[in-house]
Amino acid sequence: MTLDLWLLFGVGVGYLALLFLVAWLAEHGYLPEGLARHPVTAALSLGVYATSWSFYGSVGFAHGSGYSFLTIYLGVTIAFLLSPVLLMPLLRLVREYQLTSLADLFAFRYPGPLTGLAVTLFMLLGILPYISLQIQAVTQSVEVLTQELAPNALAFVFCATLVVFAILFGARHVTPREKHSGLVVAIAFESAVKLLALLAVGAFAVWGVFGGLGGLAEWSQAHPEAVAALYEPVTTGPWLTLTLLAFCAAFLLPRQFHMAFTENLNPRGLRTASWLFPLYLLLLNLPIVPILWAGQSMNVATPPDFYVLGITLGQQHGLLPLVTFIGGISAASAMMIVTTIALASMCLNHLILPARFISRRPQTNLYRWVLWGKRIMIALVVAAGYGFYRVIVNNQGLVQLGLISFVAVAQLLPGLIGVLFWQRATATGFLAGLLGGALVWFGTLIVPLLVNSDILSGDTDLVALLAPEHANLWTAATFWSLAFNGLLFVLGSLATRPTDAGAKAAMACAQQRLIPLAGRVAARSPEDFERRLARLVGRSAARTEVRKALAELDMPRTEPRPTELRLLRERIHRNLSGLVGPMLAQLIVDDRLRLEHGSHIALADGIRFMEERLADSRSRVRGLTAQLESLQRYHRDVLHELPLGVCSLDPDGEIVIWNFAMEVVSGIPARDAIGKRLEDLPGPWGPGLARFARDEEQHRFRETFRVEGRERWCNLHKARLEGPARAAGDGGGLVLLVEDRTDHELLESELRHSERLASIGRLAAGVAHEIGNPLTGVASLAQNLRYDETDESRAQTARAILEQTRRISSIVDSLLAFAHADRQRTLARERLELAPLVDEAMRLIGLDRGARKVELRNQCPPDLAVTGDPQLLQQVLVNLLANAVDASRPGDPVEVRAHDNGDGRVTLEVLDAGSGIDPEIAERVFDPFFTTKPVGQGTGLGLPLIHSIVAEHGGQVSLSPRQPRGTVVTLDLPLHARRSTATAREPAP
Amino acid sequence: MEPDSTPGGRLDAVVLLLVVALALFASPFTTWWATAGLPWYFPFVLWALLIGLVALHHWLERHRDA
Repeated sequence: MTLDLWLLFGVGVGYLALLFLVAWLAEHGYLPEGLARHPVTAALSLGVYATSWSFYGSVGFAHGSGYSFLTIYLGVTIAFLLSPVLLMPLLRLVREYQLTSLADLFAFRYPGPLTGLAVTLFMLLGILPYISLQIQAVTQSVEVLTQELAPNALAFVFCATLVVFAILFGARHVTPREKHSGLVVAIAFESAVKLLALLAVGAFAVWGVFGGLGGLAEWSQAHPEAVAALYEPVTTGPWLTLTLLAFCAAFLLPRQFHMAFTENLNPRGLRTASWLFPLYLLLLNLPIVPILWAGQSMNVATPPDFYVLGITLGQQHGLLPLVTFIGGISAASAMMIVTTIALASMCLNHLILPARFISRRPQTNLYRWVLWGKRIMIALVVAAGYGFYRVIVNNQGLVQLGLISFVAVAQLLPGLIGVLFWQRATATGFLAGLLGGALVWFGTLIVPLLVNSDILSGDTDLVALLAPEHANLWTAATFWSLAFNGLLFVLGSLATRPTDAGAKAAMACAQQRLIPLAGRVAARSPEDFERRLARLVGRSAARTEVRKALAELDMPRTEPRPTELRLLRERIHRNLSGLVGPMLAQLIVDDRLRLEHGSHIALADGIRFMEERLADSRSRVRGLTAQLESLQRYHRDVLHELPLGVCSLDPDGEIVIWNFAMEVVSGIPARDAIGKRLEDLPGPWGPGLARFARDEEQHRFRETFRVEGRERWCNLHKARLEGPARAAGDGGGLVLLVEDRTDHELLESELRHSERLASIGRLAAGVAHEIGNPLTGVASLAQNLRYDETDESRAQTARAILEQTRRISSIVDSLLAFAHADRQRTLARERLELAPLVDEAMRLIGLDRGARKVELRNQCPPDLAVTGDPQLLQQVLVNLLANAVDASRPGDPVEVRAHDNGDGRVTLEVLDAGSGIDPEIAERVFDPFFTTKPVGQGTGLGLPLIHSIVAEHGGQVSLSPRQPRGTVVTLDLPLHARRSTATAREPAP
Repeated sequence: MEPDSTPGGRLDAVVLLLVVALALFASPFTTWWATAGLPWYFPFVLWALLIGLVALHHWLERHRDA
């Protein structure tokens, strides 16, 4: 049976439209979100490796070379088996440095104006036979199905259609994203289609031709020569050579590099592909032998290359041939679309745009250049493939054309070894090797093609010169091209010195060096970015790129901070890389958004850069480096989890560390604080901490911050850093510690209040007595009023009553003031004359009945003053005097003395002649709840509170025995200087 | 025995897989199976075996990382 040409054309175009629909649905979110990133999709998208050569040509290859056809897939299996040491490092490089093609990769590793150009041109030349192979396969498959010669225009129409679809897939609009999820899903879809089509033909061969697996086994037993023909080339053919070529092609063919690395949406997909992709290839090849034998048993008239179609034509209806044709179209078109997109990007980034960049015409619209440049390059690449097909390949087998391209891409292998493993390799060595290998490749494989096509004349056979008699063409061409290439690569590298850029790139490729940016951006604002970029990429593109980057970073257009501008520069660089390739993006950014190398890198940036890279490369860090990295993480975690607010500033005052406790205390997340100055943080923390950072003092106690109407108390400490930053001449940084004392303060306040109430309770009897006396007096005077006959005497009695009530009122006022003293929790710092303060304390303690039996003496000089809180210091004196009274016997003196030490300090002593204190317990008296009094008479909180209050005043308290008997309590307090209100604050002991 | 999950251990496993691949498809063993008169599908069995080993390695890696 035959099929109509127009039907085939319609089916072909319809299938391509379906592919585009799949891509469009995936890109616009109509397919499940995770589909494009799924490992199975990633593995299937690598199936673009299987082209018409695999779909049609494998049967012909098996017919002519037996199981040698398997080498084309075994090499891939070995390459993917090595993915942890081969493919994953390449993927990391591509992702880390935003590389989008083979030319980018080599131009990055071997910096120089010629590297990208040479790789691009050589790939273009090397892949042309492969593209022409696809055109030839499609036209021949049409001839098989229509049983007539395909019109000359068919190949042209096919190419023109593919140009349209390649543009639709890869150059429909300008996108800064280098990844097309739609393309990945569409290629995975077409891989599934061609696998199912080939399996269907295989199933037809087994069950339709041989009657089942038993029939196939019987046929093979009946034809042992057919089995032997499969096995024989394994030992006699170019088995190892082809395996090596396939190994290289697995990741060095432009379409493979594009799908495996450039379009990689999920690194995990590449790991899964290490077994899933070879499994796909295994399934794809399983039907090849049955199809071959089916064709042989049926004596199909078509060439073995097209047995896949030929064996299906004997059927009554045309569904299976049509499905098979779709599989072939699918294989050819996917290869051509991905290859042309990949090559067009390489040509654009390394041939077209650099030339335009040099021309520096600011009125040119960059987007239009990129869009039309890519479209034109796609058309030119397909046109070149078509030209190659028209001129050369009419008499070539599919496999031969494919292998020519395989030998070409294998020439990148020495350079790739330099990328991954040999740091001494230089750009000169790479170019010399590539040129040498390319010349041998051209001489051994292309020249004979040209001669066979009557384009060249002559009988010089380079293979005959280079190889022994009867040597295999592929083995000779591969061996000699790689030998020349490798030798020149090594000699050229050893004969030249790596440039600085080359050495840095080599270390980056070998994962031994991370390259952080150095310096500040010269531009001072996003508007400045726009102005500078506009001179090179055009005003419209500059505005779009800057605004897009600002939106992505959620950054205002007025952002002035250097650290944020550095982030903006990085984002613009990344976006431009997706647009014009990393090399040109680097040129643009280096030229227009220069870094001021005189200035140092912001420490926050450096730390962020290193941590991002280390997080990404944790699995690569080994040995001592791994231990150091682990230690660094440990230290960082300690700092981060410390229950003390830590904030470190770099020499420019920008925040580098803002730990978790700081986030909790201040309510400001680290991401909002890091990179900013303290002054830029919201109040009260920003201004408060900035003030403390500027001041001379190293410590500040009980600093109050009012947050949302409530007060927080913090102790602040700071220290100058003299680490690496100072070593670099940057003057060091600063670390601030913030100790949140709020809970402690609240608890202490409650304790103070309880202690006061306890003191008042103890004074109750005395108070009752003190109030009782005037009350009795008032009662007597009131009774006397009845007998006062004159106004004068009544007035005198009334005055006496008022005097007595004033006395009562005074006592009540003192008690109330004492009881509610700690309602005000902020520590006041005012001038306090000690003599009146001690007098008031003695008056209060005098309310105690027991106190009246001892002799209270205030011997403080009248003008001696300290700085402090009057209520708190009064409580200290009341407690100390109460203790002294308790310890004294009736008639003993209790004395309070004070003197100026002459060093800005005042010593105040409370002396008693009581029972004294046992030296063994002297150390413990400041412990909370420790008391020597009987149960129910002491709380054990008095002295600890005294200690706490005195410490808050920057003072000290101590107890010592007094000779011959008694105790001396000594307070060390700050003197109040008359001329200045400044106070000396010292760290608490 | 605890599996070796260090980067070095993972590298060893990859090298081991490479040795197996070379032993199957690029060694005197290759010559043997090519001349031993085996059924036509035997190379596919070897290939499937190799893929199975790689898949097993990948599965173990995933469980170590999890």
